[in-house]
Amino acid sequence: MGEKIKELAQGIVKGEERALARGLTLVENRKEGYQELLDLIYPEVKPCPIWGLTGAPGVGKSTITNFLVDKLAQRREKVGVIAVDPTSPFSGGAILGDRVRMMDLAGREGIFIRSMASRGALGGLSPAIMDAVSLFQAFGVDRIVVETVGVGQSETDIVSLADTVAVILMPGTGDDVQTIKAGLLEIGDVFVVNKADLEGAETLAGLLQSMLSGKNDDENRVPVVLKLIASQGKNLEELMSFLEKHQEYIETSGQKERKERMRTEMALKMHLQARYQDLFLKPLLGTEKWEQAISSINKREKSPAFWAKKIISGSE
Amino acid sequence: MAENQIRVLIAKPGLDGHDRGAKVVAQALRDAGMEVIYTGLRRTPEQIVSAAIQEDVQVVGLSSLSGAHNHLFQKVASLLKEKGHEEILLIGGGIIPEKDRKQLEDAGFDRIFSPGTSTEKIVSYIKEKVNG
Ligand SMILES: Nc1nc2c(ncn2[C@@H]2O[C@H](COP(=O)(O)OP(=O)(O)OP(=O)(O)O)[C@@H](O)[C@H]2O)c(=O)[nH]1
Ligand SMILES: [Mg+2]
Repeated sequence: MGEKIKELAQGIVKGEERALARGLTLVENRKEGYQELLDLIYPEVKPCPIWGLTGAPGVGKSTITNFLVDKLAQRREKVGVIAVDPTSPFSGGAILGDRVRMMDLAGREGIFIRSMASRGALGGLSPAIMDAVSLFQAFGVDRIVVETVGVGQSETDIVSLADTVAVILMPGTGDDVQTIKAGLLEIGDVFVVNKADLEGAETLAGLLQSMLSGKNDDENRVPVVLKLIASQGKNLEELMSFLEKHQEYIETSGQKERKERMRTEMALKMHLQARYQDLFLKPLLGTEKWEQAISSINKREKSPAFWAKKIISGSE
Repeated sequence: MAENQIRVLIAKPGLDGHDRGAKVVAQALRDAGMEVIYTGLRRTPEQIVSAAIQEDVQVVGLSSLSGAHNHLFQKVASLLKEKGHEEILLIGGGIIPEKDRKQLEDAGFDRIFSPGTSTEKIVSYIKEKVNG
């Protein structure tokens, strides 16, 4: 085991694609050796800017990612892409379809794309994604672009992961105020109204603008609203230059350290949660104690809160 | 939990046709608990193989609606071999004439499913080959 993991770590640090691909699988499955691998590569992690794109299904995230990554690669940047799609809660399977819009990037020098299912993370980010970022940074990329579907928790998680967050919206999804879900306005550094060729783009952009202008906590941080037609390549350059300007701001304003800390905190929290589950929850399922708790709760003898406390404290 | 999560790449090489069949298979595999990297239409063998390597899949499935893509299928098989990824289970399906099936299996395909094969059969074939 140890030798194999060492080889894998060396391969990743040397920039071997195959090793990175295997390493990503290992951390995703949290298989034996995954922690050893992370320990080995950690000193080799070279931080790089991380851009996050989030938004509802089908708003055009992958089309936009495709453009950005193409531009970066043309400048000879090495780019890592992590595209997250939700796991089906029924089967545990997933269709990871982001490559459909990114296929021109496949096989091109300096571009590594990995599709990941959200797995246990209920649509949010999982520890595996934090670990994937570390592996990419040990492999040596100049930039990472993360695409996540904005459902529930993942929207707020992306703030802890990415230096710069682009929230992607589109018109015509019904009530515009509904479209701008609670919490959404707080997470974006830039708001993109994509599919501006469709009716209602102007209205949505105007609404966003007015909602955002009420939130000028820090003048430098008043988010920008851009209208795009990603499928026609329209205004994508503007998004690109915004993202780069924002990166500069992050690096010169002391935000970088703050972001780094958020990222570390989230990685640690996620790993702790996963450990709790492994240590406490999984061994408990189906045991006598578990059944005892279930039946006591069902008979209305005691509440779930009571049992949770009792189980954790270990007292009888 | 997902100790041995099966990951499959589904692609349709070649220029013609639609990808309805490939999508049906992709959904069936998802419903059987697999993670399916779906790449869509008009993929070159080079793109398919590069994606398969980066995604670290155990299975590559190609779909064709005519016998016309025999050479593209063969190219995928030979590229995988060339890059040292013979361990990847390589399967094909759609509408592939009997005589081509043999040829493709000789070229490195583990299995070419005949038209009308049920998705259940494909699912159980993959599970058995990957896990068993
Ligand atoms: N009309 C119009 N369609 C667009 C535009 N941008 C993207 N699309 C289309 O919208 C559909 C979804 O695009 P994707 O880039 O796959 O969207 P996504 O947000 O990545 O989707 P998921 O990953 O499935 O959530 C595709 O059919 C695109 O061609 C646009 O500016 N205008
Ligand atoms: Mg997408």
